[in-house]
Amino acid sequence: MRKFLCPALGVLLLGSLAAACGGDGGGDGVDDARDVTLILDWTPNTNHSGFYLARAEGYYRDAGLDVTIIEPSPDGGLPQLAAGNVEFAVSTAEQLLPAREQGAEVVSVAAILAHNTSSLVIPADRGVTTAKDLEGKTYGGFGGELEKALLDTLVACDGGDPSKVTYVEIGNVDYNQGFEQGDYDAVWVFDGWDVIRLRDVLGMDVTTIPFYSSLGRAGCLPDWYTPLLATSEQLIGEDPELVRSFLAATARGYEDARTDPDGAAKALLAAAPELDATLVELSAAYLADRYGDANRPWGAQDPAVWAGFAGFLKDNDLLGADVDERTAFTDRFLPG
Amino acid sequence: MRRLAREAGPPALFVTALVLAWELWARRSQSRNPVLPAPSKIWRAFLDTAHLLPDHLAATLTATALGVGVGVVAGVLSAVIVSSWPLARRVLQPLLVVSQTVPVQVLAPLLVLWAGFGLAPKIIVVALVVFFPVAVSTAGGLQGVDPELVELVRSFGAGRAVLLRMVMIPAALPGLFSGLRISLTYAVAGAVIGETIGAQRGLGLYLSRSQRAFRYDQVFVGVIVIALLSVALFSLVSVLAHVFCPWQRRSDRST
Repeated sequence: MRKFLCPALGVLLLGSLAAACGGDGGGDGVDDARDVTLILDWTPNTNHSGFYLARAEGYYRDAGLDVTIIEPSPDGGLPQLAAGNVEFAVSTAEQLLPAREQGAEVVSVAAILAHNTSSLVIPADRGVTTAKDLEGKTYGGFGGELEKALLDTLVACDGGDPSKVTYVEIGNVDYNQGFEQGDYDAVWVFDGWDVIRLRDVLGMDVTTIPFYSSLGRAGCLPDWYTPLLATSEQLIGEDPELVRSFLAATARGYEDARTDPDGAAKALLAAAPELDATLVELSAAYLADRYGDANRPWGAQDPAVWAGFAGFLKDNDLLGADVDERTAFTDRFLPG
Repeated sequence: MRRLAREAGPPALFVTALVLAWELWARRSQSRNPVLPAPSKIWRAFLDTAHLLPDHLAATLTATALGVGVGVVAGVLSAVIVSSWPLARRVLQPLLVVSQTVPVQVLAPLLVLWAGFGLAPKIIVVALVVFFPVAVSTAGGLQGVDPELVELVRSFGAGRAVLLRMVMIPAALPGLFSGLRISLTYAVAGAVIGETIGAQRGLGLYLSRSQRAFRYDQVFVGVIVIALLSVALFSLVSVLAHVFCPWQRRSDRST
């Protein structure tokens, strides 16, 4: 028996090498198509519907693109984009601006949602209806200085005293558990996913304090783009046509998602069948009106929004004063 | 048959009772958000997503198998080097230990950055997890070789090849297999962690998608599949050890 050992080990070794070198092709195997990789900012969700629709409807294929969609690490896709491993990344303004400060040459080329859909969500039985009511309550955070600055600003602009809000860090757990156990009263979530889950899927009675609705009130929160679509300055320099054709096909996908939420939900569920169908369908319907402002094309970014958010970060010492947000985004690759 | 009933009976009864208690408790607690879903709900989730699992399972199994292959080869090579040259041991031993001090959760995103999104980073994560126990226990086996036995075999005129086959490999194999048994329980977990980052398939992807969609019933399905996979691999190594180390069989049975 023992004399078979060496050949057996040899075969194992060779097999491993052969398989490791073979790699995994990936993509849809379209001939002559240009391989393009998009890295998401999270597991697939309705924010990404346009990409999945564009792929399912063949818009990428028609543009000569073979698009592979990759799910990211918790730190997001920007490092991959900056390293040149992917062509496009879904990210957020609060990740992109600091990344640029660190020297990553990444640029936002489209706003995926026209406005920030972030909210604080609070179980209704806590008796909180405005940000000021958070005095004496506990906020469950994911950690980070931006979160603290946002909450402080939100409470202060409502006439409250931020120092009377207790912060606890809850990390990457399901916020609803902490609600039930009474560990905290409010968390930062997204209207199009988490609030729908709590209110419509679980049937909970919750209050929300949307970040965006505080716009226009002096000293309150700025709007910002979350999520957005980013690419690298390198790709823009080397192959601007690729950026243009990817964005044209993606824009078609998102325009479809605006008019056909059911189709958007189907395309997403087909690509990620592990998701909860009810949540996806409700969320797709909710976001249909929010991928772009009425009568404006998908993707458009407003320089004033970028300036307002960069100013907020700088005022709170979260971004260096020398970072120029005007070079952090461009609409020139959008169709039309 | 009677022996089987005697051996398997108590654990089977215990598990059944546990599952029943879990089912009753989960049904009685009127939680709107069952982070601990009832076993019946998990079973339904399994049936609903069963058609997705083979693909994910295949991806995880591929990453695990290749990672174990690479890890074993690297582990055995290091064991041979470390036990052949005392200087090498002094130089390499601290490095081997350091290789285990970085948590894979920290390492995995970096590996993806360096090695891309294919199988490579997953294989590296698994290989890193597997490599250390294999290296340590194989080296232990090699270093435990009785020098007098080596002298004896040499005195019969045996060359290096014969010495390796007659003395060194039999000495190293039991260590190799016990190292492998320890590391395999971590290997699947390593592959799953690798798959939560930059993956397109795999049980890790299934888990993170289910978690982000608040499908805890599916999370449990994933956990159970991973556990069963680990048990299956563990048993496979036990079978291999039984086949390749026939002289160990009696002592196996006594433990």
